[in-house]
This record gives sequence, structure tokens and C-alpha cells, in this order.
Amino acid sequence: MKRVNLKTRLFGTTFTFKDVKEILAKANEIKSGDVLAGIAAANAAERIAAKRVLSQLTLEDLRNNPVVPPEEDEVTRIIDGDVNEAIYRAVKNWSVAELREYILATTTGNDELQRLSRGLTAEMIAAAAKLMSNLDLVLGASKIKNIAHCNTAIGLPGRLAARLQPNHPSDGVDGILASTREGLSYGVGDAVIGLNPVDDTLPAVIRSLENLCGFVEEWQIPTQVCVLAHITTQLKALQKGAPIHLFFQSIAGTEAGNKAFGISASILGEANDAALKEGRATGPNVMYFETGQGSELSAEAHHGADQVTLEARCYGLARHYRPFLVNTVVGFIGPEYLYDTRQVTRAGLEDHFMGKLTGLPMGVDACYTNHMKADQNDIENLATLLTAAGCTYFMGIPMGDDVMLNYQCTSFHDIPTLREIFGLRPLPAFEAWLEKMGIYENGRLTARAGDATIFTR
Amino acid sequence: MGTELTLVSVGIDIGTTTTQVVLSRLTLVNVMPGSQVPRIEIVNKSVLFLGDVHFTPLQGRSRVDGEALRRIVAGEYAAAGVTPADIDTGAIIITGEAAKKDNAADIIHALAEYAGDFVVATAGPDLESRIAGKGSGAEDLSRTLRLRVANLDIGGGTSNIALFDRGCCLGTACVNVGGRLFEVDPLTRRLAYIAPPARLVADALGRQEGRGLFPAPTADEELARIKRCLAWMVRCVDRVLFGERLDCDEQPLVMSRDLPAGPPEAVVFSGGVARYIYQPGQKEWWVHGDVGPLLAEVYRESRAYRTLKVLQGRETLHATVIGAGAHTVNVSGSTVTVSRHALPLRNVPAVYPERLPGGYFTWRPAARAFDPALYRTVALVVPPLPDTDFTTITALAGDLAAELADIPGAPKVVVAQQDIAKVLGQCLRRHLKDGELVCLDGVPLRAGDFLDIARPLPHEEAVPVIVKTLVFAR
Amino acid sequence: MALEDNIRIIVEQVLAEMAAGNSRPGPAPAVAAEAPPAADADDLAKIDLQRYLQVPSPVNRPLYEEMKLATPARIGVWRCGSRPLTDTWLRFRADHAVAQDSVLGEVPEELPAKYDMVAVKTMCADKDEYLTRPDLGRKLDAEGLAAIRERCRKGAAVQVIVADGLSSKAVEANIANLLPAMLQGLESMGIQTGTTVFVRHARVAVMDVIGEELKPEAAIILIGERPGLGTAESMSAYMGYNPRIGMVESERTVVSNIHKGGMPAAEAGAHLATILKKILDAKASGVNI
Repeated sequence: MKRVNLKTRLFGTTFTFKDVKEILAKANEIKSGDVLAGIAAANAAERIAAKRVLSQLTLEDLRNNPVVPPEEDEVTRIIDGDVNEAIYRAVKNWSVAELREYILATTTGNDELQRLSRGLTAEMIAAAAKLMSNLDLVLGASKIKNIAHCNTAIGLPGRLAARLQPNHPSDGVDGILASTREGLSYGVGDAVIGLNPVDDTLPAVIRSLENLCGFVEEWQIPTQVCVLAHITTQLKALQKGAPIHLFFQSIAGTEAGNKAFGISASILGEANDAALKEGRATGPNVMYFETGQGSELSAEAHHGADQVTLEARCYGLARHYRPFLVNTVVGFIGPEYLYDTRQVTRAGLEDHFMGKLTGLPMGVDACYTNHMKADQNDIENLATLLTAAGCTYFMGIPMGDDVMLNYQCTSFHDIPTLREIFGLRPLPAFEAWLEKMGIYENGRLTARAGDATIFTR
Repeated sequence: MGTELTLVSVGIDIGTTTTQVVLSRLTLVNVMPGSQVPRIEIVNKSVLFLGDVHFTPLQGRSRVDGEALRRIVAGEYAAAGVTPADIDTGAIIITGEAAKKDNAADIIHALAEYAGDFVVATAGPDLESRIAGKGSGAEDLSRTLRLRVANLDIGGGTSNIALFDRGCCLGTACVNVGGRLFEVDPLTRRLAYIAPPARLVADALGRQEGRGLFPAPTADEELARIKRCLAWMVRCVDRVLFGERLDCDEQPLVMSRDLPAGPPEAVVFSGGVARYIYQPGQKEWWVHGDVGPLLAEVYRESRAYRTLKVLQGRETLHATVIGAGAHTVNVSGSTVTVSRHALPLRNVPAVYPERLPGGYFTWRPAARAFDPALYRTVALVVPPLPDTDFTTITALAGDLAAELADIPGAPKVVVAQQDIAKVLGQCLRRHLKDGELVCLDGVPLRAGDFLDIARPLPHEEAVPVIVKTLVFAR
Repeated sequence: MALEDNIRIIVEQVLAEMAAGNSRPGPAPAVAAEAPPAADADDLAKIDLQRYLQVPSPVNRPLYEEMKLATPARIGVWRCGSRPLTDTWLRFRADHAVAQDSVLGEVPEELPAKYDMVAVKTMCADKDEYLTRPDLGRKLDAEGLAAIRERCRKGAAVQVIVADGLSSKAVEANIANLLPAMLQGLESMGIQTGTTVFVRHARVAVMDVIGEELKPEAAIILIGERPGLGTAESMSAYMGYNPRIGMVESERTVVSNIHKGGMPAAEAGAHLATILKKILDAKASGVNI
């Protein structure tokens, strides 16, 4: 194997790194999770030195040095196996700096990046992100439109979608439907109506699926429904005849991390096949994944790799199943992994960019917990940046306050606000329905919007 | 956690005309997340077995034939492939004219003992109306359609009204208007028997018309006079339903009347007669040996039918029996204090306290109303306290213990109206030493209620409880 | 409009509370609730959000009121353009403020002594370190270890530990009712308890270190939960049989959501006593039960 350059000089000092994994880790913008794992750069200068070394690595160096060896990890194998060799051969001698500059070049647009995407591994995509400024990440992502179709199409230009998240502290049917009605009355729910269940058991999951699908059918809402239970529970629900549009699962960027989630590639494959064969959705995209920096470390399944690279690997894994929705839950994990607003903002922009460059219809749950140094203003900032970056969808929650998961994210109000500021619209079929219901008109909320009781028979 | 429990529940409806047995399956689950204290709720009710409709066996006009009734139940159990030991819970309800028979109380208590370990005997027009409205689906309709819905359950002897507003029962009424108050001979189609309530009506009309109505000179004239009586009766039901004043002749027909002001928006009909309201055109009106189809015709002319939105529930004919089986059981809170061997308990009267000057409670005076020779024990109800601090509860326990010492009965039963049964029970136990104690919460009670308390559910502390209003004077 | 509604609701609440105070049926009239001072009428945080409908003329007001009672989610809040109304926004910020203060605030110095607890702290120097270094929050500092060795009874059936965790307010709000109810319950079942320990800046697994030192049969740690916007006072209890270093999370039995709006503290104390009894009887905890 070709020797990789592991050192550089900066301010007269020589910085030497042990291996590619260490370079990738130290090139990260500061994250408390990398500090906790003991792999962060010791200081700002070392961080920049690592970025410099990284910028000179070739894409081939990165493909040849995945952060977890293929023999130990199915995620590495899946990502490597999905690389289009022809495209890869054309770019393998590029340095990471060249990759960054190609992405940002005025002449590079959606078509070029779609093609490039298929020749890249997660480590390459993560490496590019590490060299990028926040504005680079916004610009790069904004060029890419990844379209997917379940019951409706998502990812279309000029559209901003939202997941309606009607969570309730005891899965109370009336409470769930109350929040659902409220969200719809703000034009939220075109990406999915997706419930995080409190009770992950089969009967409870089936009940919630039936109730939500019943409501969607009653009001003929062009969207998809998902109950975010463990994927094996959803599989059982499907076998029992429950209405399943999308299979949800939280995924990690390593095999060991996925094992901690109680899943493997074969389970994901089985679910995808089952949803295509027995599910109620039109398809062909029938999977929904959530990710988030730090989850591998918290499961002690990080193999000494940094959380940005591991996050990129989640997207590489997700791509294998051609998902309809993928989003990072960026501020949920806590200050041990993302300390404050600055780190959450950075992570949100990185994740979104990396997901888009991987070819995913990438959304973001821009959020924070109450033990993190962040507040609602910070999350509104992040959502605004991400909308500028062309984010596919956000979460919509009553006033951004999730009464079940006890965290805060973007609100029902934020979705129409962001659409208004950026001249974006709901997904087409959903917008037509909103107009029929008298909630939207010419891409704006009507006087009737915001009244959940318009859904009364 | 997360596992479902199922209970088999029996409903036995002994009505004026017919008797029926229904088996239901109740599904109970813990609705709280794993790490939280469980809350067991009934999440699904489904009918397992719908028995045949039998004539209620009578011995003469004044007694129910207990032996024959037991044979009916045994036959139905056999048909369903169950034994009394398989029955977890349920209710026997004796309604209408049947409830007035001399031996009604004895019969159904005996039958309850036979029918299963925890099958309760219930009666009373209020409960009957309520149960029918739940069983017919009127309660659910009122919730889902967000309407004020009256359920009108029309049986052989009575018309039972229950008013539901968005899922809450606001009140009930019971009027002696039913399809079997006139019996006819199906062969001759002539009047064979007039039950006392119908006799009252016939007499009142007779006075107005200046002659006795029955016997009538011809069959046609008899039929016309019956129809006039029925119209008079249905008008009375309308007046009760719409909250209007009654004539003194009408008043004796009304057995109970506790409806709030304001008319309903919609009406659901249930019971044996209701089927002919939804499916009119039964030419052979005498087919059941009574005037049920005629009464249905008259009901189609009622103000209720003409002016309210008429809905049909999920169950028409069997509303009461299904309601009895599936809609009577509650589940207590999951943190309670129970001496296991003290259960099950039947017919425990709920005793509300009086408030003494200074804010203290006393249950003693109210408890005295219940003769210890007739009631094994009483349940002291603790109304909601302004706080649930430990000091408040220890003080309450002291007071309760002092009172319990003077109130006969064992085990000692206390039912709190907020989530404190575990800590209150532990405090009480310190005072009561070895005495058996049942301290529950999560069961809303009203003055005048009676409780039946089952053994705790498997793997849970929660106990099934049936709250009923018992009218049998014993 | 919104303001009028607001005032009307507040007045109704005050009246209701006063009525509750007057007719207080309690057996301990000495602690009778006083009517809240009139100043509360202006307290944004006192509005019962579930009964505060701000949509000006909804299609179906009764339905909306019921929907609000069916969920603690902030629905029926209305809007100005696409943004929330000012009161709604400020109440949200107020709830977040109290949650953050509860995370960052400290349990008062004098609290442990009030309940005869031995007070120690973990290796976290301050809250900030506590938040970012979960590893340090699981270890006692040298002084703490020494205090435990010297001042705590060893080998009790149940070792009780109280910890601030992510909410100092949870400790302040619940301990006064939870602890005596639990201790009474244990005592009446004949279960002997050790010296109660209070740990500052602690994670759940500090139980393992204390278990290793004091060798109780079982241990329970009462610890503040990460505050939500609904309440900052929620407490959890983690219980373990044979607490020791290296214990896995699934070995712990958990009861969460202990607070006024969830399971009241005194009832929770009684409940925890019976769970501890089960753990001692089964000689196991968590998934092993």
C-alpha cells in the first residue's frame, strides 16, 4: 500500500500524526465528544496542522484507510462495496483540498455532485467537511437536490418539508391526534407524521399506527405515517397487518454501534424488502433513518474514530437502503458530545452537508436539551442556516417543546416562517391539500391556519 | 411491562322478556413507559361469544325461575366451551319488570356466585341505562362526533335513557315504557295480559275517554286502543327526554329521572324494540307475542325520532348484555396496599365522610347506615386532599385508624380519590397492626356506590373493581 | 383579547385555589393552603397552559379545550403572522430558564444535614465539568471516600443515596416527602437502612463506588432527572442488588417521573420501599428480576 504523508510544518513546528484516523480526528472542529474520547487535537494549532495534512491526502489514501477495518466491520464493507469504481478511478488521485474546491466551484452543480457522490466513501466526505467553513458547508449542500418518493415526493427544489412529531408522554391517542391536528393546521406534516412511541411494545405500536393512518385516511392527507419503534417491532407489526409506510431505525456508523441499537445490516435489508413487498406505501423509498454525532462513543463502539467521520459512515450505510428520509438529531445527545451552541451549529451544518453529498434526502432535527448551553434562539439560527443550505425537512413540534422526549427543537410556527423567508413551499401534493383545506394560499398561511379544530366532522 | 393481560368477562342480561349471555375479552395493558409506575387500562373489548336469546323463565307472574335460569347460563357456558372457573369477571344485570319480581335479588346473587368467581350482581335503572348506552356505542359516538347523544334503550318493560356528552354520562332516566307491557296471543292476535304500568296508562286514557279501554269490542278496536296507549307512553318518554313537566297521570310511569337541562342533539336507539325502529315494516307485529313492533312504529313518530339526529350505534339488539359484560370493570391504580387474602370482596358500600369543624373528616356517622349484619365491611372514601405531603398523609392515617377502630367490618377498606394509596396504606398498617387492609386509589366513587373488588391482576398490584349502584334492599 | 382571556383565566384559577383552600378537608389543618397573594395574578408562570386557549375564534372551542386537556403539548397557542404570540414565547423562555437554572443550580449546603445525610462530592470540580465529564461524575473525590469510610454504617440491607444529578430542584422538591415515606416503609417491613449519603455532581453509577465501599445488600440512588420544559422537579430512582464497580446498567431497576404532576413523592417513597423489598427477596435487580 502507498505510504501516506502524516506530517506537516506550521508556525515552524513539525506536527506528526500516527495514522489517517488520528488526522481525521484532530482535523475536526472542536467537539466535546472527541475530547471525552481523548482523540481531539490538543490545541488549535494542532487542529489546523491536522487539517493541512488532511487537505493533502488523496481520496485513495482515505479509501485505503477507513477508520474501522473492513474485516472488523460490515459498515465499512457496505460503503466500500457501494462505490462506483469508474467514478472513483477518475477522482482517486484528487487531494481532499481539490475535492473541497471542486464542490465549491461555480461550474460544479447538482448533476456533477450527484455523479461524484457515487464514487466517494464516508471518510472522503467527512474529510471534505472538515476542511470546510460553515459557509462552505451551506454552499456545498445547497447545490445538491436528492429526491425520493414514498407516498409523495420529497427533496424537490423550492420546497421545504417538515416531519410532524406529535409525541405524547403516554402515547395517549387523543393527545397524539390533538398535536397532529395542530401541526397540520400550520402546514406541517408533509415529510411524515412520525411518532416517537413511549411504549415500544407491539400492541402499542400497532395501535398508534392504526390511529394515525386512520386519521390520514379520513382527511385524505397526502403524506406518510411512521411510528418510530425499534425496527424489529415494526417488522412484527407489519406481519400482523398493521399499516406501515416507512420503516424507521436509528443507525450508527459502526457495526458495533448498530449492535448496541439491536440491529445489523441484514435486519435493515430484511425490513426494506418487507416494506417493499408488504408495506402500504407507493415507494420505492420506504426507509427512514435517524443519526447523530456521538452515538457510537456513547455505545462505546467508536473504535477510536471521531464523531464526524462516524456520522458520515451512518450516511454511507443509509444510502445502501435508498431511504426516503434521513435526519440527524443534532443536539439531542447532550453536552458531553456537543457542548454548546457553537458545536451544535457546526455539527448540524456538517451532518446536513455530508448527508446531501452522500446522496440522501437529508433533513435535520435541529434541537437541544436543557442541560446544554443553547436555547431556542440558537436553534432558530441553525434552522435558518440549514434552510439556506437547502435542508430537505425539519421537525415540527408544538412550540418546539417535545413533552415526551423532553427536548426542544423547531416548532410548528418555524416551518411556515422559514418557508416565508426563503420563498419555499410545502411538498406539492401536500400543498394542494393544504389549499383545499384552506390552510395555505399562495404559499402562505391563511387566516384559518393555526386552528386545529378545522379538523372536526 | 408491555405484556398484555386479557380477562374473560361475562355479561348476563335478565330482562323483562328475554335473557342472554355474552362473553367478552377485555385486553388490559400498562400504558406507561417502562421506567414509570404502571397504569393499567382496558384498551380493547371484543365479543367472544354471543349467546342465544332465551325467554326469561318465570314461575307465575311474580317470581323468576332461578333453577331454569341457571340451566340457561350453564347451557350457554357449555356452548361457548367455558366453565365458571374460566370467567374472570363480569356482571349480571336484571332489568325492567324482571327486577321487580319478588325473588329477583336472591336469584341473581345466587346466579352471580355460580357464574364465576368475580361476577357481580347489579340492577337499577340508572346503571342499566348507562350500561346500555355504553354497550350500544352511544357513549363512543358522543365522544367521536362530539355531540350530546341520548341512548334510548327500549326493552320489554322499560325505556332507559342515558345522556352522553362527549364521552361523559351526564344523567339517566327510566320510564316504564316497553314492548311487552301488553302481551298478545300470537294465534288470535288478541290481548292476553296487561302489565301494571300499561294498566295505569289504559286507566288514565279510559278516564279521559269516559270508558274502560279493555276489553275492547273488536280486534281492530283493541289494536287501535293499544296504539293510543303506546302513543301516550311514548309522549311521556319524549317529555322526560326533553326535560318537560309531566302530568300527574304520567308521573307513575317514571321510575327514575336524573337528566340535566338541555335537550340532546342526537339519539341512538337500542334494545329489542329498537331493531324495528331502524328496520320498520314488520307486518306480523304479533310475532313475539307482544307489541314491540307496534311500539317501534310509534317511536318513529316520536319527537325524539323526528327532531333529533338519529344515529345507529355499533350494537342495537344486544346493547345491554354487551355493556354488562364489557363496560363495567375498572382497574385501580398500580400502587395500592392490599392484603391478598382479603380479596375478592363483594357489595362494599362506599362511605363518604362528613366534615367536622376544624377541617377534620369523620366517616363514623355515614358508616352507621350500613348494618354490619348485612355488609361484611364498608369502604371509607378519602376525598382529594389539597396536598399529598407525607405529614398530611400520616395525620390522615392517624385519624382514619381511630375511626376504623369504631367501624365494624373486615377487611378495612379505604379508597382514596388521588394517588396516595400506597403510602396511606403503609401508614395505616402501622396503626392497624395485623388487621387485613385494602387501600386503593384510581377508582372514582360517588356517594351511594357499591364496590366489588377482585383479586390483584397477575404480576401487577392493580385490582379490577366494579362500581355499581345497588338497589336491592336486603 | 389574549390579555383579557389571560386575566380571566388567572382570576378563575385564583378563585379555584381559594375555594380549595377554604374547603380544605384535610386532617392537618395546621398546613392549610393559603390563598395565593394577589401578586400571582401577574405571574406568567402560574398560568395553567392546558386550560389557556389562545385561538381567537376556533371552529370548535369545546373540542379545542378537550384537545388541550388531552396533552401537555403547547397547542392552541395561536400566532402573529407565522410567529408565536408574545406571551406564549415568553412563557416558553421562562420554562426553559427554570429548567436551565435547575441543571446549573446547586442543592443548598444545609439540605443534607437536615435529613441526617453524610454529604460528599464526586471528582467534578463544578457543574460545567459535571456536564462534560460523565466519567468523573461516577467517582468520589478522596475527601468523599474518606467521609464514607469513616461516617457510614457498612453492610446495611439498603443503602440510600441522594444525588443532584441534572436537577437540583428535584432534590429540593421531593426529598422532604419521599425520604421519610420510603424509610417508614422499609422500617415497617423490617428492612434496615444504612447512613443516607448525599452526593453532589453525581451520575447514577456513583452508586457502584459507594456500594463497593459500604457493601450493602442493595442500594438506591434518588437522582434529579434532566429537566423538561414541563417540570424541572422530576426525580428518578435507580436500584441495584449487590451494588459494585462493574455493574451493568441493565442490572438496575428504575422508577422515573417522580414529581407533583407524575407520581407524588410520598407515594413514590412507599412504592420504592416495596420494590426494594422485592429486590432483597429476589436477591437480584433490573433485568435479572
